[in-house]
Amino acid sequence: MKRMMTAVIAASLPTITGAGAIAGEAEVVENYANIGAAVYGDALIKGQELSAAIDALIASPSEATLAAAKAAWIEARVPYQQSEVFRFGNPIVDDWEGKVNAWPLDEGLIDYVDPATTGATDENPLGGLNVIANAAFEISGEAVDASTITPDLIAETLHEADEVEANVASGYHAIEFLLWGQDLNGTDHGAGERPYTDYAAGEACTNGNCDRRAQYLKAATDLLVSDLEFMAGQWAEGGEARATVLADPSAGITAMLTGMGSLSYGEQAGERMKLGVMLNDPEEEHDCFSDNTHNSHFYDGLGIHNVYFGKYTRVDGTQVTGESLADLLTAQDAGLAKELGGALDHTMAELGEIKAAAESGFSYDQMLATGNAAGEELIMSAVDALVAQTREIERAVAVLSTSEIAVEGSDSLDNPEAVFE
Amino acid sequence: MRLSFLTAATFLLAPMAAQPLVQPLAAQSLEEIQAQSLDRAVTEHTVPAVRAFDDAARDLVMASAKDCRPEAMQPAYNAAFDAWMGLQHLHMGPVEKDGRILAIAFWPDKKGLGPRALSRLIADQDPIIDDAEQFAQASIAVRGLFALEYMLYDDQYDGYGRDSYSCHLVQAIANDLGRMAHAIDVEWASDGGFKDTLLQAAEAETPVYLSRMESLQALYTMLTSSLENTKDQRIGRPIGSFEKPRPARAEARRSGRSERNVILQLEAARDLARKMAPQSDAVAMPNTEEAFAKTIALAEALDDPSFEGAGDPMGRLKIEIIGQNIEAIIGHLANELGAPLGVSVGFNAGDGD
Repeated sequence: MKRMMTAVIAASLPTITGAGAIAGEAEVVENYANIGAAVYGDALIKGQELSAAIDALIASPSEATLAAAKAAWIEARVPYQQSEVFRFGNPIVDDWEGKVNAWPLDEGLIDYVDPATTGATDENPLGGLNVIANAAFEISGEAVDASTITPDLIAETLHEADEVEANVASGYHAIEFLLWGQDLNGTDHGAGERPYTDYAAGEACTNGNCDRRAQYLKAATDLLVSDLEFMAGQWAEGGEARATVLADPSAGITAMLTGMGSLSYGEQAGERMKLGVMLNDPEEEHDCFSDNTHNSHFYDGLGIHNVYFGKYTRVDGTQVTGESLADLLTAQDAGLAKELGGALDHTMAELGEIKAAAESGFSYDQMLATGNAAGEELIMSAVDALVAQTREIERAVAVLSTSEIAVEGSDSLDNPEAVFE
Repeated sequence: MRLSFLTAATFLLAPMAAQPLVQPLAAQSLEEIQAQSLDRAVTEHTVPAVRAFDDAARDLVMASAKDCRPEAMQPAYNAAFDAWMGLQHLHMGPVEKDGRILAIAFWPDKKGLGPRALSRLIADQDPIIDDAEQFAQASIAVRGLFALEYMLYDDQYDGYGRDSYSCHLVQAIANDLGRMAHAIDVEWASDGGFKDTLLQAAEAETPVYLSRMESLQALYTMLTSSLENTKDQRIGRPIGSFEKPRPARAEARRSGRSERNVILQLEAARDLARKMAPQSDAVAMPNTEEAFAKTIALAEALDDPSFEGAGDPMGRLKIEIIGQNIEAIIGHLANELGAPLGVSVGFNAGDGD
């Protein structure tokens, strides 16, 4: 029913050099694509390391192998979170993102949970399904054979089952739940405390179905790695996401700024940070099982910073650098370029304060507690910084965007009134 | 909600470069038109909106003090919700500050936190309701219009008597709403308040917007994003998909306000658009006017207060068509309002998912 209306507003730029397009756009977009390739490439490398650590856990469950798998998960989040700035603005990423980073989840779909806190609800009758404990069940009236838990079962049948977004069966947070378990500490300090014996063989197995739990964990991890392979390929030489932004540098610049602004405001400041504080609900923590939320927010912010300054530090310490949005903006409006850079730096300082507090023992869920003024102050200061940087990003859009404006139009059906007659 | 890439990419260029499509009245520069538009939108739309919500919330407080029981309170509750629908699209300044917009109207509640938190509060007879300052810190799941809706309209909660814990809880929620509504009014409409932040732009005491164009663009963003929100949430949630409609997800269905809220939101958006229109004569945006009139008429013709009809194919289609018409309004606004004013949509709280 939708059709595109290319709005009639043509754009002419304030002419600085007299050139039709801003000099350097193509180089800026190329560097952006290089950063995309590097950040998704790193996410894949770390995903493969996570997969190896999980294989080791399943082969030989122990405190040590579980701890190593958790450590690998935490490391894997570092490049992935820095990639989130690519999501909004690049439809190819946004369409895919739900498979790997969907959140929040009704984890009772996957495994055992504390019945007092989770389970089936009006919104989600499958919230207490517990696939690990049940080899056969029904979804939306259809029988499902889950006798073997495969990547395909997770991706095609369980993920977003019954069209409920909270039925997150795949991705980082499903794996996080299978490694840490539910965090039952509320807004007190402490993460999930899943025992390694949840993966133990025979009589040592705790909470039942350890073999199926291992099967689920393995399948979800394989799926994550293959999803990451796909996206890394999209940004590598010859990949579609890369080709799209390179083909039209002006549109690529808009995609960069759209990604920065949408992640800053609607997603991170609003959905992920402010709502949690207002609800005082530790379930609203982005990485609620592992208590890694401070890092999740920090590296989201860093990703935005990377795109603006055109610089990304890879997981092996090497750097990807090149022409940046900051350079491009400086040439057009040096004052605004400085303001925007300063706003992004300020956000990183605020997110850094949250990270520092969390790493010294004042965890993110504690910050969310009712009446915890210090926590609220920490989080809301970062929210304010993200909102402020969004305004500067909007100003940069006004200066840098050269593409024609596309607005969503509708033909509203040919004759909608017919229905009412 | 999935971000629509196109919507997010709907940006404007350098304001100085934007060419007004409709030739303004002779001798008026774009800047003058923007200043007039801003002035009318702020003084004739936003200020009356914050005043009306403050007044209605005060009436709700008084009604709750007089008789806290559901039947006695429902008229004042509906009047307050009506007034909120005239303001809720202005997701900025004092409305956004301290997360007030979420505290006043926490919806959608995707995980059913509201009833869970209310039941716990009541079971524990939590004394937090006795202290207004503490209650202001409580989870938004137990505050605002939607918590009150459970108390006044849901069988699970609405059987309480005078002097019960639930009665005091209802009074606490009403008082908290009254406090927030009054704070918004004062912070917005007083001299030096947010209205002046918008009107004076760069010359304001603490500037948020660096030009009147930026202020106007912020209001335009509120206008279009509120319509998108109505389409995606108020309409989109209950209709779900064709195979799986979700009437139980309709906004404010317990109080039978789902349809009414859509109509009131459209009326509020139309009023803002009219006040922003470049010429005082509404003829300046004929397609927009026609689209608003048609969409509102379709909504009024639904006769389905709680959107229960979303559950059957024909009823669902009727609701879906309203959403499609809202999309048409947004397109016309871009051409007939945004373009002549030299503004377009900025980032908004609905970006993200």
